[in-house]
Amino acid sequence: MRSIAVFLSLTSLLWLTACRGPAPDGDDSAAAASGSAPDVVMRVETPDAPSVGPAVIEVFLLRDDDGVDGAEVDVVGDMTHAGMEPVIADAPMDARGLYRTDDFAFTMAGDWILTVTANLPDGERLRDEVTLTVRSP
Amino acid sequence: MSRRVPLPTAGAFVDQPRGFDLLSLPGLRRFLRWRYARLVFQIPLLVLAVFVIVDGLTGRQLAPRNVATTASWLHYRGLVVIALALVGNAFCAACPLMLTRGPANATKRLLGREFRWPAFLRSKWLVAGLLAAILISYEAFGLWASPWLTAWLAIAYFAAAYAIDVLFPAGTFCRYVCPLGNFNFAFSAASPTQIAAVDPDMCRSCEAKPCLHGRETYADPSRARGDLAHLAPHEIVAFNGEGRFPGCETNLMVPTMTGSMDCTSCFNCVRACPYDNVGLVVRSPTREATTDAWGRRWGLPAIALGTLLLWWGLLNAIQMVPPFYDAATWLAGATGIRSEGVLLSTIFVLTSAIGLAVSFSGALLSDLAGGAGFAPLRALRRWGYVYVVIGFGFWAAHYLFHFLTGAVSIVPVFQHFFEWRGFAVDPNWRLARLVPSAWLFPLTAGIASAYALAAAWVTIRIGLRDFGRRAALAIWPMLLLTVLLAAFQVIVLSLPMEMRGTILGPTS
Repeated sequence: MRSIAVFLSLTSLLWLTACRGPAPDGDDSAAAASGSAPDVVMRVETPDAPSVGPAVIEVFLLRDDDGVDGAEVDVVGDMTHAGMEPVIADAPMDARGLYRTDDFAFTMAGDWILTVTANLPDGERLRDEVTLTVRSP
Repeated sequence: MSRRVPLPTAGAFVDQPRGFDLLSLPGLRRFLRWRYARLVFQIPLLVLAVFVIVDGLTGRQLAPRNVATTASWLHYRGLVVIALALVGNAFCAACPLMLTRGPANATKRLLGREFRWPAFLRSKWLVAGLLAAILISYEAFGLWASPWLTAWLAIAYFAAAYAIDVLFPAGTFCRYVCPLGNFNFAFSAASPTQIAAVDPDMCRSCEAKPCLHGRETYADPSRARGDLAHLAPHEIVAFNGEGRFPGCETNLMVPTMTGSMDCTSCFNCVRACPYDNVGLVVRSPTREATTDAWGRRWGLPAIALGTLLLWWGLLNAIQMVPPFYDAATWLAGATGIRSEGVLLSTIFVLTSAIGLAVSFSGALLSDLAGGAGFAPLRALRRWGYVYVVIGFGFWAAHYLFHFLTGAVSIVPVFQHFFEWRGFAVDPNWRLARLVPSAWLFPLTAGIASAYALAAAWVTIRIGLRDFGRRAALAIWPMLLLTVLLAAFQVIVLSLPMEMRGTILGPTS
């Protein structure tokens, strides 16, 4: 009975082989990416040649080419290897529609995935992922 | 000329450690003789495997946020080396793959026949090849960064264990196929415990050898199937219930075990022994390496596997430091190779070849210095244990680096598992490190150096054992190589890490 139960639970996992988690939003192979709510566009810009150390991540929130104020934006940097502590930074508004991190730093060289989340004043939430390779200084 | 050596007619069958028997600790022997003791260890890992597969296939495809990649490449590997260093082959003991045994047996009965594992595959060569394939795939396909592929790897392991068990005798998968298990087998040579007979003379008088063949015990003998020796309940010292008690599936007989190679720590022998005469004995972690424990039964293939593991361990770590990327880029330019898979395979083969050449050279020089003559294979069989010990030190240092860096991240990763599925959970991603960053290098370099010292000790013991007064000459080449390897390891550990999924250039 026990072996049949184990067998059934294992084989039932095969149904999951048809599943896959949602793909990340946006173009995850570019240094800049964008996401959008119905009428808001988010653009993320990273340094051209990112290296280990402090870095400024810029997030543009635009509605009909006009900047969106009052959003709460945060940037989370993860390495592609499990177990690395993520870098989490707020990106306060720097100019109309422009949000910049002020205490973000790449802690190690290698492949990084930045997850940028913007909570808009009207309750909309935008999320984007950007992958980039960080060099040793 | 026969190579058989007659077993002694009194006392120990073979040289076994006689240290403290851990099973004499209160309650431990009684627990392990319980027929479901192994299941207690296996269920947590089975549950974890389900999480790995489900999250790997359906969760967020971001390695540090997924149970599949975090549990497999961080926690499993870290805890494996900790267990090997402190206790023994605990992860084979808890292996959930063996829970496919029941369904496999049912299928086998439907199939109506069982095949013999081909004679040419009855060594460690196949498993060395499979281990190489996994290590190459790990880099070439970026398994460490892909929850989805990691989940599929777990499914493939379960499927392979099931299929091999259906077609071939029990234990075939563990002994001849499982790369993870054989990694554990090889490095349990450096573990501080070993299964041994408590009283070898009792084994000598045992006719049925249930530790090897298994036994059946029923008050009503008619219930026995008859394929195992039947021992009535009154014949069992410390009676542990009725039923079938399988013996060793990897064909080890307790009183003749010279080490832990092929021992899955399943404790079938503890349960099957009618005389309660099996112990888990504390020994020196260098004991197995200094007593030629693999010589008679496993010989060169096992030594070669252990030696290759040293070089594969070095490569596995070097692939995370900047000089590797420079060297790989140079090699790609020099050879015109553009495929990363081909490039990685080429580097792997080159490393294996160069590593074996260096290993043979060190062993041969020591043999020649000791006056043993030019016999490279014999030399590697003699000195290869040194490489096993130093190799384990480096794997342990590397895996512990990752484990210590992110062990606590398992908490937010599991929180995220539920958050991803709609539960109101807020993962605390600040949880990651087990120790401050500043401790990592001293700790890992200390571990690698400690096992290098152990390897030096093994070198001296082998020299004294085989070369007597010429040992002072024989040990120097191997000692020098051990020091060079240790220095190289410490240098690699001191370099800044770089976790890149591509080796021929940044992705953006």
